[in-house]
Amino acid sequence: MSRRRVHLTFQGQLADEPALWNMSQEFGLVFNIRQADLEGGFGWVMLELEGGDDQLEAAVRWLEGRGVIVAPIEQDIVAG
Amino acid sequence: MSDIKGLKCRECARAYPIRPVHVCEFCFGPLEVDYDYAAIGARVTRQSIEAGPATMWRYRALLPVDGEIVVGRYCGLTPLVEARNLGKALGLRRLYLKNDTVNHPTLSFKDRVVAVAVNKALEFGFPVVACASTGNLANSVAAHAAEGGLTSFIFIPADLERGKVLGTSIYAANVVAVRGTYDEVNRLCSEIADKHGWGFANINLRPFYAEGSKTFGYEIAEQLGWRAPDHVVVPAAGGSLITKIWKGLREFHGLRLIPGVPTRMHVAQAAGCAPIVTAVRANTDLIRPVKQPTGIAKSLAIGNPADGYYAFKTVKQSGGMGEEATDEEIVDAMKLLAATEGIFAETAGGVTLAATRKLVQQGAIGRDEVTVACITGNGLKTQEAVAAALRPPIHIQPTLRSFDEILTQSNGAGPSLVDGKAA
Amino acid sequence: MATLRVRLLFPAELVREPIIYSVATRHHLIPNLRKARVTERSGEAILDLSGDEESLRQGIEYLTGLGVKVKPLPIE
Repeated sequence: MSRRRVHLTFQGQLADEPALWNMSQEFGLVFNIRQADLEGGFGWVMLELEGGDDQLEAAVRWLEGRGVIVAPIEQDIVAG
Repeated sequence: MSDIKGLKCRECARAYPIRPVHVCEFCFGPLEVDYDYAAIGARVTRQSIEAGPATMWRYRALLPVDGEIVVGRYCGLTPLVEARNLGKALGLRRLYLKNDTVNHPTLSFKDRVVAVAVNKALEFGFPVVACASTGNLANSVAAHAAEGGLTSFIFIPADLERGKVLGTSIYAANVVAVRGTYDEVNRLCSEIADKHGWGFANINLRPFYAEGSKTFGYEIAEQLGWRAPDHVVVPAAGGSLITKIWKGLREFHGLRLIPGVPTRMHVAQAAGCAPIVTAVRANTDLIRPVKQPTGIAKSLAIGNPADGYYAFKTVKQSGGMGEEATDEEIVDAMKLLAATEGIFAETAGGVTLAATRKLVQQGAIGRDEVTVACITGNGLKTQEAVAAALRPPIHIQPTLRSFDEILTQSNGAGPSLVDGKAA
Repeated sequence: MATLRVRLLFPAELVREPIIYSVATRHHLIPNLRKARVTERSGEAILDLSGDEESLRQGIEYLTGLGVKVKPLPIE
């Protein structure tokens, strides 16, 4: 079991889908919202995820496939 | 010797001892160095600073380094250029350029932050330092690691041009090109830092690293004769520099080194990637990431800025504005800076000056107000950005007649030898 | 299957706990986050919980027992 901390930016697409729940069920992950500012499908969430390494990786791709921007909690690490 | 209490969460104020951590375990907020300002105030004066070395280490009482300065000893105290010619062109009587194009050793302001980070990495005993960067940060981490006898790993996106890698590889760095999207490179680095326990510039060394930027603000104030300017225009990528310049000025005020901080902090970004400017204009602290940054200002192309929220707050608290610049405006401003002041800045400098020009035109910066534009990196590193916009050499025969011919032409319809100057 | 919209207010000591996840798993409810404003000091969330009536009742009871303030809201 690993933990991963991610920063998610939602851009409206998932307003009516229980996205975090569906993700957790699909990949067997526990999620915890540690900081958030989200309304009407727009905003950001700092999420802690716990699960298998492969499942964590797959969950990140699943979210990306739905238009969510998935960053580490440091956000952009790559600098100029 | 150290007047540092520890680290403190910027959000919930929880205290942590000094170690290589950067995120509050409780609320995931960023950690910041917490100083004992009363103790610092008791021994730091203008005179004590002026008696220090002619480098940024004259401010070391306000930097989180404990022991001897091992690397980056010559960093900082770059010129504050009184830019009369450029000021005239932009309509400003008191324009200054903080010129980090000549910072030591790798010609950008990143040397300030990396000097602190790598000294700290040595103190922590890390055998390896790392970063993810496409340019200035990579150069600087590799150079300082070399000086400190550390191994360095520099992660870059696999599609980065060869020429950009050279200024890093020369320092015997391990340059690792990651085949993946920008977001994937980000996430991978976070996991590598987690797993290998290296000193990572933008991750676990971040609280220390970021403090180096304050010296940019300290120097501005000292070089203006111990006063804060009316305006500072700062280019933003991750948004850390503008918050730290502001922090530095306020620290100086708190220590009674300067009489006040009337300064408005303005943020400048390129139109192809302006998440912070967009938020400032919309007056919302929700920073919308830019998924695909475009344009020539690659050193500022950070779509999901880690300090975007704090940069926004700095601009708002100080009464500043945000402006963006198109590629064409950036190149024009770079050419204008070079032609008027003899300074070749990288694209970020063009962004800053193009934004400054707009702020003057809008009346946000007054003609007689003391204005500092931050020039953060050297143009020799990004020559391709302006190559197409410059006049090629004029070819002549090896005879006086041939030369006189083109001199005569320049007075008429031919290629002018004196253009490129400010109108 | 019923859906209940609730506003949750949870105190600082619960911010580290996966409350939404645990109420959903324990009581077979599907949570959909409509609004969240979670900081280091407190958390506020507006959540649609879907499940059968009895599960919803038990879920609310579970949350209240943890120290979460639960207030039902109308669904527009």
